[in-house]
Amino acid sequence: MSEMFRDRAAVVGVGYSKFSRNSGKTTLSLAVDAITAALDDSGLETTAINGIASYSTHGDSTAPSVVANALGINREIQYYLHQAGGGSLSHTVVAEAAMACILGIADYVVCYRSLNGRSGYRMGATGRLPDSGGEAQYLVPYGYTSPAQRYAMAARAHMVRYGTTQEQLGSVGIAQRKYAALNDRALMRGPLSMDDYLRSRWVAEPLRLFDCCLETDGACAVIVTSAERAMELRRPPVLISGAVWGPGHLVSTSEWPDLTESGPRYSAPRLFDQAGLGPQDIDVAEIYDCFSPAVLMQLEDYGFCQKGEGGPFVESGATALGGSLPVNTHGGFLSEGYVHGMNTLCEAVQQLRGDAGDRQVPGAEVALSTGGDGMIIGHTSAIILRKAA
Amino acid sequence: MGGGPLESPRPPGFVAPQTDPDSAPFWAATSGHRLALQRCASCGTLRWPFASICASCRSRYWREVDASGRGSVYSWIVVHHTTVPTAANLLPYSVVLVALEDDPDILIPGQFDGDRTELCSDLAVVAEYRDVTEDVTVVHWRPQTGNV
Repeated sequence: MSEMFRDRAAVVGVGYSKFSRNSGKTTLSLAVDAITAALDDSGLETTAINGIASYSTHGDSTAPSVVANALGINREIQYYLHQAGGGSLSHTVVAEAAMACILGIADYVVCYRSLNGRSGYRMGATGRLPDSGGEAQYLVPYGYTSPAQRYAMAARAHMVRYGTTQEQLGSVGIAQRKYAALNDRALMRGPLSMDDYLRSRWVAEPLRLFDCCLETDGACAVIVTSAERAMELRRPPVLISGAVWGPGHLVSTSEWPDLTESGPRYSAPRLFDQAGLGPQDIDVAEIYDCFSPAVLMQLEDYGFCQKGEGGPFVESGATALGGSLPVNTHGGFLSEGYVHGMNTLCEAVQQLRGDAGDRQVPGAEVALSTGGDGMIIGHTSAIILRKAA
Repeated sequence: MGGGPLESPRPPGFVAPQTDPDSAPFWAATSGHRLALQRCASCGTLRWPFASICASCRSRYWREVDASGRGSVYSWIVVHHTTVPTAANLLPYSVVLVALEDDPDILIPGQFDGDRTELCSDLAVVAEYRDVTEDVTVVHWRPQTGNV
């Protein structure tokens, strides 16, 4: 099965809007900014695009058909996808676009995520009463309402079970801030010390302010096509070697009673198998970092260190600039901005093309890029990318 | 144990649950100050939250059983920042995830009514009930005392 997918599609362009806390723009306008930037990057004409894919939650974005209409290409679109949800879907949307290209349903598919995540609809539910139906009915009556609180609960379980320390949680954001200092797109670029971290306010113990991602206004886009078409374009093609759709943690914990396990505990082996690679082959890892414990658990569950050793692994400097496994070289959601996984993937592509400037990982040829780890929403996704030979 | 006299209505910051046909028996039980679980009538698996099908054997048949109301703290948080403006005056507050004595794989979240500084892994806790509205009662947890 994997032979039908492995290295058969490629990312041929990435694009960003400006990131900010208050864009003053519609999500349609932000999407257009990112898509036109990705088109410029790829060298393709707008009219080459005949597939368009996105994901959004609670009406926080603009639908693909509306974006295609604004670009004047809606009548030519042969493939649409609009998934309901957040960052767990970032990599499924791109992987599904790859399938559409491999199958010949579309030639070039643009995938985007566009949101006013700070000035508009805020994922953490700031500014509105939380939903209290479905799974939330068992949480919200106790003031257990936000993603930060859910990850705090998992972080505490990790500390109890494995001895993970507050400083190890802090090491995640501190390492990433050093990369962000080298990324002029990043919203937070100033130095961050352990003292700064330990003095920052609690959001939900054991998570502090700098354990939490930056609510961001912005958009990112990537253009996907078949590997054959990719070879004709001007940028070095970045092949999609593997993709995975996996499970994740829900409230129904009797089905999953260990909060220290992320979805990739189950999906990562399938991903590596599909790509024909292993954790030792990954040169750079862009890990979905909505909150710092998500990085520790994914590093463990993707097999970069033993289960429970994520804290010491990050504390050792392994993930920092010059470390054995550079992680979140854009600064991640903790410092660059939170565009729900699409900026994660864009950074991985740039690293493999050698476009990452001062934060470039020398000789990077294979990258892991992950979507949300499955906590809360119950599913996860990830992609392994490889520089074409 | 029981919930004692009805508490005053909860501040609006703590939003009442929207119950549904699957969950209605659970919330009906809490209104009666019982902590209910489902036991699959086919394979005997205990489960929570309430659902129409057994995830172990896919049976649709189940019966309601009362949990002991006792458990131990699996994890906990102390909330210092709430996104719900009307809950701001309640900060900081603690939420626990309780592993039930009946089946420690069942983890039930709830408010912790006790001394936060005593919170630790495996702290023995017992359920208490807080009437939110005329129709809805929610479950809180407090440390077990010697005579529970």
